[in-house]
Amino acid sequence: MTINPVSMTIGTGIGVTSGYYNNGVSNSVPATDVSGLLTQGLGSLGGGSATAAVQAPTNAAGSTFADVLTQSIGQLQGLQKTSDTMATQAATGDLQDVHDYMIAASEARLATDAVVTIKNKAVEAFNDIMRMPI
Amino acid sequence: MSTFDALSISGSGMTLHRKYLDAVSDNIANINTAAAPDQEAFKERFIVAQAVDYGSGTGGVRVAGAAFGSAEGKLVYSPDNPLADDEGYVRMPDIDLGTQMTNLIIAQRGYQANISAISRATDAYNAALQLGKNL
Amino acid sequence: MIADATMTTLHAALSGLSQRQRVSADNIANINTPGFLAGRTDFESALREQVADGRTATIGGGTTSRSLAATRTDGNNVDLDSETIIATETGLRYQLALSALNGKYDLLRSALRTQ
Repeated sequence: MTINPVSMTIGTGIGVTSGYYNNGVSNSVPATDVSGLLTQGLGSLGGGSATAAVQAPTNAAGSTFADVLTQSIGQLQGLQKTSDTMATQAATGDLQDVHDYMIAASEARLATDAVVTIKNKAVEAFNDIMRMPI
Repeated sequence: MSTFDALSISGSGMTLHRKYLDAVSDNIANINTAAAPDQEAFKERFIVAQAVDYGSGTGGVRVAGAAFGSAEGKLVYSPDNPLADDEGYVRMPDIDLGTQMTNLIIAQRGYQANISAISRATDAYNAALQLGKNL
Repeated sequence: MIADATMTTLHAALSGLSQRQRVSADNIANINTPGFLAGRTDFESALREQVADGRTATIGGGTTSRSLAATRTDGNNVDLDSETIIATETGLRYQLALSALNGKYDLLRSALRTQ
């Protein structure tokens, strides 16, 4: 007994056709890698129609979600380094302005929170997807 | 330059005005100090203040030294004074009480102004330390 | 594993500053003692060298010496104005170093969070 094609929709109505199921004999779900599913589920706002080949969607500037994440982690390292330098200067008494350190520390804190939240949401979304019944 | 510059700058101002206060008090205390005519009269004390260059140093003010007024004073006729010479004159200091009282007020206000600058700076620094506290 | 170079430097600064506060209180208490020379603490020079060389800071490495400023007639050279300023500034720097250390702990904590 054949089952009709099943289409899964994720999030904002983007469709992914997963092929045919045939009593478990053959499984013709196209091999998509997990990050592809992830980026499609989270990052795409294009609202494009379902295609068989899954492509990582890009935003207007041409970067994917993975790029954005890597970039924000790099930025975070810079901010943390600045905050550390200022803290060392504050310890030895060489700091010129108190607010310089406070601003650097707040920026590092917010950037860390942002990256951690993105990471957590991405993991959550991944887990949600993995839990979906096929 | 240290982190909390305003404190040491105003502190130097406080020290200077306190020394100024000391000098004026010294003058007022000795306003009736007589001397024999062949000796020096009590010389009025002045404090020489010098600004510490802000660009290269820490800023503020320092006492460059003390200066003294004239040693001649005024010759006052006072024959009953044990220090008087044959003609009955003694040498009194050439200090004007009115000027000294004015200087006293100036020194006091200067001292208080520096204290007020310190307390405002401390408030400002405390506020800066609260930046991002409740993030 | 937890304490990195910055945290050790801040810890060293905190102990140096609290020593300075103690010495300043000692000076103010002895403001009328004849022959008393004011104490001065210095931990910044050693700390700056250690930071520049990249070595770990020693905690409690502040040295106390006697000030050689001009004395009054009773041999005492404690200046109340300077001591007040030093006490205020030390308090502010202590708060700043505490805030910096707290900031580092917060950063680590938020990175470890999974919620």
